[in-house]
Amino acid sequence: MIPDKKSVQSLIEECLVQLREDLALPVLDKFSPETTLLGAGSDLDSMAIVHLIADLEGRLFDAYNLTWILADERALSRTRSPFRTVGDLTSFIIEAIPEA
Amino acid sequence: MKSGVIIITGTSKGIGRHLAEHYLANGWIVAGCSRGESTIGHDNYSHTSLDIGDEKDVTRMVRTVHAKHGKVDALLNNAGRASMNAALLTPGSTLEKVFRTNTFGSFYFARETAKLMIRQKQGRIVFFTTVARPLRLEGEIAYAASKAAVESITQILARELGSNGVTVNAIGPTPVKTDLIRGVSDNSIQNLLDRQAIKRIGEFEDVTNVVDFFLKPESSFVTGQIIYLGGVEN
Repeated sequence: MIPDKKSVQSLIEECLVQLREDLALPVLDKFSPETTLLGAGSDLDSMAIVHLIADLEGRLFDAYNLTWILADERALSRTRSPFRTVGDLTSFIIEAIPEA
Repeated sequence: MKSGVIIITGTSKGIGRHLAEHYLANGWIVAGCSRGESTIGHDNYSHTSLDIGDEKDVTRMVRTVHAKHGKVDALLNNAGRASMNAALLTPGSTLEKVFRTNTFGSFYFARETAKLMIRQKQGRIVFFTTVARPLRLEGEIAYAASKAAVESITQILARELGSNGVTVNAIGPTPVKTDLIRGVSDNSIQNLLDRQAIKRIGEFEDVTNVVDFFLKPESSFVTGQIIYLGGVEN
């Protein structure tokens, strides 16, 4: 299966729902590409983002049998973090599809 | 000791092989790796041939083990590479090779297993350092420096993961009769043993005893610790 925006976004949503449940945070009102993950407008702290990324890498591997390492040089060197919003993260995952 | 799924690096020979056999005998499912093919035949053993300095290969192995067994309870970061050289005669390429295996490889395994362990809310990571580090052993600059980095990784990871039920500790063996010290002269070994409080060569059982302790469920309050064998002090 080839990763597409819709399926990747769905995996991010699964991770986010699980994370918020684990951290006893309120259920998300709505989920969209504009949903903020990191920085102003988000109630997730840096450790929560670590958990989110770790969970997402695992789910991506299970779904596509491909090995993403999301916190790589490309991600960390950008002026706008790819972890800022759901849309940014989705685009980054598609852009960084690893070779099989 | 409770059993589970354990990843052990460097299982083709020496301490790694002994550890794999020890935990298999105690009911663990062992996923091992080395540069070469497997030297262990057991129903509960699986092997991956890889270069532990290859970040992607390490990541793939850890995630494959997790996908197969649904969890990873412990990691023994045993694989290592030694180098004996006077500092002034140590090429940069030697330093790079030693750090690639001992420091980078151990870090990749720890990072990837820790990602799984924080989701499980439990896990044990054990690094391998050396008495050459606290003894500031002459002629071991690359090896000891790479292990000094491993000790820092151990202690910082312990702090970062402490609230997630994951402990991170290290054992620093004295010389044990393995290939790692094959090229070291008897005289050099004796000089090293003379600097230990207990002046004998280490046995495999000395190593497994400390690793068993780190893995015990009752050791959940022990993290960020480095235990050297033979009475060597930091």
